[in-house]
Amino acid sequence: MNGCGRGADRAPAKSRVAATLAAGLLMASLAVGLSAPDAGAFMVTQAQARHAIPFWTTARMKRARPLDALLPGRPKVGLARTDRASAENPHRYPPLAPATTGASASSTFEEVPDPVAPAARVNGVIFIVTPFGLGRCSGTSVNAPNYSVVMTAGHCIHSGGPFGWWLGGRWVFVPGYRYGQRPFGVFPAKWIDTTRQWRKTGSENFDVGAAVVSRNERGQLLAKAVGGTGIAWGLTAKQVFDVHGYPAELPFDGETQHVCTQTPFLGHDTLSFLSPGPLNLAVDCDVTGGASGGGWTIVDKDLLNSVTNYGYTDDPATDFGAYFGKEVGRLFSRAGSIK
Amino acid sequence: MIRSLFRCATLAAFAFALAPSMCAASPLDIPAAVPPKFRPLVRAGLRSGKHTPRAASESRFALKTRQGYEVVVIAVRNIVALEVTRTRSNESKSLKQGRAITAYVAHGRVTPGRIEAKFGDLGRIAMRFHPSGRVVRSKPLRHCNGAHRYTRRFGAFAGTVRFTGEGHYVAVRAHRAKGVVRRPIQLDCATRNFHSHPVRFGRPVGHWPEFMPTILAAFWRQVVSSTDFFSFQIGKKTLYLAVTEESKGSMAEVRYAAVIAPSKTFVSDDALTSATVKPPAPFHGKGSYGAAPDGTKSWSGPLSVAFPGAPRFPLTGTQFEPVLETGF
Repeated sequence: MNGCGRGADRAPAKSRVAATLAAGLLMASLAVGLSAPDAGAFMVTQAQARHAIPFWTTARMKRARPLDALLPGRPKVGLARTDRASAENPHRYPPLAPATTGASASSTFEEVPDPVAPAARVNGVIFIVTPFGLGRCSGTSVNAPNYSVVMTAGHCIHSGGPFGWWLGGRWVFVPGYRYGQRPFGVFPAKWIDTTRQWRKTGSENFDVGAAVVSRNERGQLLAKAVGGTGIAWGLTAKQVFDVHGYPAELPFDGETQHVCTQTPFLGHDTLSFLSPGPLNLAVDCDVTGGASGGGWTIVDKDLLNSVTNYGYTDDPATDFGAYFGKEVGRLFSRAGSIK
Repeated sequence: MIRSLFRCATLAAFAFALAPSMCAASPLDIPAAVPPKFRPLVRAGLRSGKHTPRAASESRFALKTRQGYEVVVIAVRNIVALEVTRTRSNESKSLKQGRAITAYVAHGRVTPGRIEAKFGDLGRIAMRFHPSGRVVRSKPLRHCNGAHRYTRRFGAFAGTVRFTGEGHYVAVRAHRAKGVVRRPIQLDCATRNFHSHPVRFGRPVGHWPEFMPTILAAFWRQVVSSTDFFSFQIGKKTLYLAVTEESKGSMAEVRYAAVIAPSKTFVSDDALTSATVKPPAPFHGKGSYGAAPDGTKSWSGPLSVAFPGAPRFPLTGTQFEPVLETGF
């Protein structure tokens, strides 16, 4: 238990300076592998994307730590009536291969017995080289016109805020990951982006990111290989979710996929009222670090409608995710249009 | 734990320094004024090196109610806060007399000329600003990024304000209120005081025993509700803070209370195994902390705080995680 909540895990001022310097140096080195930003997003060259696949050996994957623990300033992990602010014009993009889990309700982050099953293999681990070491998040393959979109948390793409930096270093997505196995191969990112507000302000209300991935080692497109969930934005916040992810902090080890099934919306985080933008969502699910970016799909509809963003150390049973509003819709549209 | 306490203490020191201005803080300022609520801003600051961008303007107006409360409406960006505080006979803003505020925060439509927001079943605001023509500009500051002074436009807000607190503890209905629109909300200028006393920061804090703080804190959080109690003793003073948050549908209810009291109201032993606090109003009763040799901690007693609309809000119990520490 941490007496000062999630903010207490932050680095002190001296560390912050050191971290900033280190970040600056590493950003300079990472920038070699990244081309100039394209309308805010970052494009990765094909050669760099190819090099990312052999870089991520099983040993490196196991060494990767949750971004929440690596990056200074990241939180631990990364009721209500429908209101105008959280009920915009609804939009849906259908799943490629609709699937239902048929599981019973549980707020415990239970292990998925078969992560390569059709319903589970759209979820995977994201591995990233950060200024502070090898990092990891969770992500979801989403059906899109280019069959190559991964949705995740904004902080798994960009550290957030006006002085943030891109986390494009050897960014790969490994769907259906288990114990170092990559049953569907490794999909390196060729384009990453977040919501405009996450980049500009670092507001938790907009902590959503997307990546467009290249083909895997076998030449397959992501959604053709594993399928893709649908995505919806502008719906009412009052939904029942399946929360997916690869938690890596205790009591988990990051080697297996987990899910909280049929966990209902409980309310908005009071913190999100103090910033502009849509209000964050709370559900009952005991995620830990590494689950950041894991998808929240609407039960029985296979529609991605949020991603895990953060939690509080003094209430580990509650998981918070960003509301999918029109800004997420714009992000998804941008990602889906990348060739 | 020590590291977290160090941070808490640092934050509390900030709060202590801010205390005089905190009396006038709006609920939107709470994260900057109260230690536990520093969390998101610290996080954001560490992550981005900068807090959220400065909003273009802040609109505010105040109304007095028959129940003896003052209702202040503050609108910044798309955030509207309606704060309720007890009307005082004197206008002293010293924290020595204690201060308690209940604020209702909702997202709405805000422009320099308009405030619209709904506070669930409790009420709504739809007001337009009509400037009187009176404009006050602050003294210009140097070394600023962007604006170098504040501009305050006075006038009246006209429209509808309807609000009734839980259990009808406060009720306000108005169609007109004097108000002000200030822009920008915050200046980005070099602070003169910081540069004029560099020596004060030249020695470790430990060299001044009078600045060694003792901190007793107790926190509790569940889903979208939380309660934080914080006592920070330094020198001859103790700062007491209590903050509760609760999300209620499309609205958040944030309450906070603060008082500065003599240090004798906070007693702890050298071994940090027990402590007692008895803060003055708006707090009631006393809280007792105990730490057993096996590491178990207790936080008990009749300590409570009187917020507007919640006259006996408990601050002790087994659901709290207590912490007692000293020094940085």
